[in-house]
Amino acid sequence: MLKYIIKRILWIIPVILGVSFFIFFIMDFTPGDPAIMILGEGAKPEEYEALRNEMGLNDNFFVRYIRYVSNALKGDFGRSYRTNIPVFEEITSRLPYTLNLAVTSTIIAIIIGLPLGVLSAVKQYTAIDNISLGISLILTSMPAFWFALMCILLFSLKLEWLPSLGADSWKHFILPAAAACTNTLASTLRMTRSTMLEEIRQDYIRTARAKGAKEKTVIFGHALRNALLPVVTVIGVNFGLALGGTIVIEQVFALPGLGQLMINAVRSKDVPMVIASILFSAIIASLVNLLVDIVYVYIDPRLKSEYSTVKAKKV
Amino acid sequence: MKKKISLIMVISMVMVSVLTSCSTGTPSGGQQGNDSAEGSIKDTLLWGVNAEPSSLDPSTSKDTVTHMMMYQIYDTLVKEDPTDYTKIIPGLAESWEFNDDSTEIIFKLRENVKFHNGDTMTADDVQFSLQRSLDSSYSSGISEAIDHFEKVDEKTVKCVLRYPYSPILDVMTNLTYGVVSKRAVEEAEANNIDFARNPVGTGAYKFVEWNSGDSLILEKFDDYYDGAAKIKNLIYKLVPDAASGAIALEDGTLDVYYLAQTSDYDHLKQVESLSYVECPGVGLHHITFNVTDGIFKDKRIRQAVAYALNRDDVVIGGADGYAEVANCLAPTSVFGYIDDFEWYQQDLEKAKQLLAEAGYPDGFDVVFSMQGSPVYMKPAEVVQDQLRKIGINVTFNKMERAAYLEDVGGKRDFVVSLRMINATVRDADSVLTRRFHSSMLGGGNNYSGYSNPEVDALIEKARVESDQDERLETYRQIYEILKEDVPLIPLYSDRVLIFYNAKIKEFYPHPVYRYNVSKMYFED
Repeated sequence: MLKYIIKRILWIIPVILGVSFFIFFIMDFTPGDPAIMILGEGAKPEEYEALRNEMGLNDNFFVRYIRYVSNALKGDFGRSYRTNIPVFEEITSRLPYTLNLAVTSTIIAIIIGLPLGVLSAVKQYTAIDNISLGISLILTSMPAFWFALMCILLFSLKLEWLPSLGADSWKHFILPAAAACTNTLASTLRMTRSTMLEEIRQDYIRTARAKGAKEKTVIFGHALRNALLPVVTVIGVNFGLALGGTIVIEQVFALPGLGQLMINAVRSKDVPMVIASILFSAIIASLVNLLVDIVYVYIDPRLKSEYSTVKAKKV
Repeated sequence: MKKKISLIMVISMVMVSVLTSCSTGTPSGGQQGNDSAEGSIKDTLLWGVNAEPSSLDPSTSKDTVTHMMMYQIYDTLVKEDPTDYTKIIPGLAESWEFNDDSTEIIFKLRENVKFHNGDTMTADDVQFSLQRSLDSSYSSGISEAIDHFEKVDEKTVKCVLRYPYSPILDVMTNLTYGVVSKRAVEEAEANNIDFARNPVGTGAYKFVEWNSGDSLILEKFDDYYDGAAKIKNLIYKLVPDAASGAIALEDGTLDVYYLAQTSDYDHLKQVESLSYVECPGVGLHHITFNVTDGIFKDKRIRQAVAYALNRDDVVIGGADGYAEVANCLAPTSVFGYIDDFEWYQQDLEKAKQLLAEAGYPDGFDVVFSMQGSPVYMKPAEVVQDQLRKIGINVTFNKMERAAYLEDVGGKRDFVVSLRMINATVRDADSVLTRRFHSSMLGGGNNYSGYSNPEVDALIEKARVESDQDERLETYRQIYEILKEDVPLIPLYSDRVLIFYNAKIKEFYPHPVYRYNVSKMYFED
């Protein structure tokens, strides 16, 4: 198992290199001159040229890419074109906010979505099922920024229960996490419901019931365990999406996260910042995928036995 | 099974606790100061802003937000009267005088002015700061008339001009010419510290902390030469979304917000807990034709477009009514704007006739190169609708700002565009030179490609003329020629509105957001 994990972690390296090349390539071909963005429109052509030389922008694409990668391997991701702050420093100060938001919203989605999904499946076609399906439909259809603004209007402006913006205490994260969890919650709920419906119609469930097993054991002990695999996949994918999807939420709630950094960097053609922030997102997404695969092994005994067999054979 | 589920739970809990501890350990600034003030006298002003400062060094920044913040940290030799921005009053210079041919200004420096690091300001600091900014590429657009700065004696500094330049005092109020501590800059360089993130000036507020992506925290400077500020803490909090900013202003989280959307103005005006100040801005929305290539090379077609427009409607659709129709090619608030000058009035028959004369009786299709922001797209859509009436079918090529600046600004790869220019010096010269003077062709700001020796000569004449009536007369002649040639069509000048907590007193309007926080206070 440990070998598998190490192998998977090593696989992240080519992925990151590929992502870095791709982003570097795209940023190079998108229109817009960083020198004009920095100096604005009032400067003289020779001033733009001097700045381009100073920033090494006139070098060949591959020269710049190789220079970037070799510096990055030493931990130097360059400095922001706009603010001149070391990119690594900037990203590490922003990352906790984005991760916090993504993790909190995913946990809320699991805590609410999973039980509701199970309940919907068990009580199919009842009022509970219809209501939870209705909720998931509404949550999927609502644009996150609109839902976020409505939450602020209601809970901050009208009821004055929660702060409308900032990131100073746990209270500040309630509304953003609620707004960010909508999609994950809806898809977790629907996926749990459909996989549970499939499982509870299986022969082994009928057998378990015939044997006189308690309904709780049948549902949570047998059916849910088997239904969890696709649900975990959906949650993993949604977590990756949440990392990028928090951009809008961060803008609305004025959270100093990675998404906000990324969008401002793209707008101002701040190439080092764009590349590094996407790279960091890619690393996290890869790690989450790895975590999902590890969780698979613990949920599904067949996978675990596969690893054990491989190990045994090698021994 | 229980074991496995508990393992998953443990992994999740560890992740959450690690992440939570990370984020709560990071100072977020914004709210902290405010909370401490609640329950007692409010001693913190929380000022929302829609963008982060780029650099707090006067020599390496030129954007509006940054200058709004630097106005509290730095002082300039001369400044505008905070209560009436049209008057220039002494700043770090207690007096000044021009030489006979107005090519030199001698500034007599104020004594006993302290920097935030405790040093006393000297002529060396002033000369160093001004020359440093002048040498920086960031000062272009306002500094063309200045040759150099020199120290005359311990209390006097001289600004030497290349030619007499009437608006020079307005240039010297620009925060680009804020005075920095020479010692602090040199020490920062020696220790490899970024001065732009550790500024030392003489302003009413001193720098405390800059939390990237979140807030800039300032604290009053007790030794400020003009009396210590009344409000202790000043926090600029980044709130990029204008709708959230407006709500936060309404629910009292923010005390001031820069910058609400024009569509929210009417609502915010009704909120009892808020006040606002309003004045004309220095921006001029206009249509730029490419007069050297493409269909608009023909003057008659440009005139036809001018006749086709009803600019009152463009103001309503484009700026929700919060703008003034501009009849000259200058923002309405600057010196050199002539109130009684008349631009084309809408006359569709005349427009169609001109199109027919130019060989396009049925109109034509044209692409407007545009930045995608609503600031430009809203007025452009009204223009699109109005031009349809004379058979001109407009479509848009929307671009990101970076692409737009390169294509339309750098390469001049466009036919027509709707854009805005800010008068960086509050004088018509700022706009006329950059948009119409031949020296600004080929990489400068003269995007239309317009070149007319007569206009060049008149712009240069107005620039050096000291008699203000004479200058206005010269500007009138320029406007007449530009009205005939129509390289640009002036649309409107924005109005600048800023909303704030009604308890704040001594808040005065300013066209480029130079608000003097040091005199503000909260009413009980």
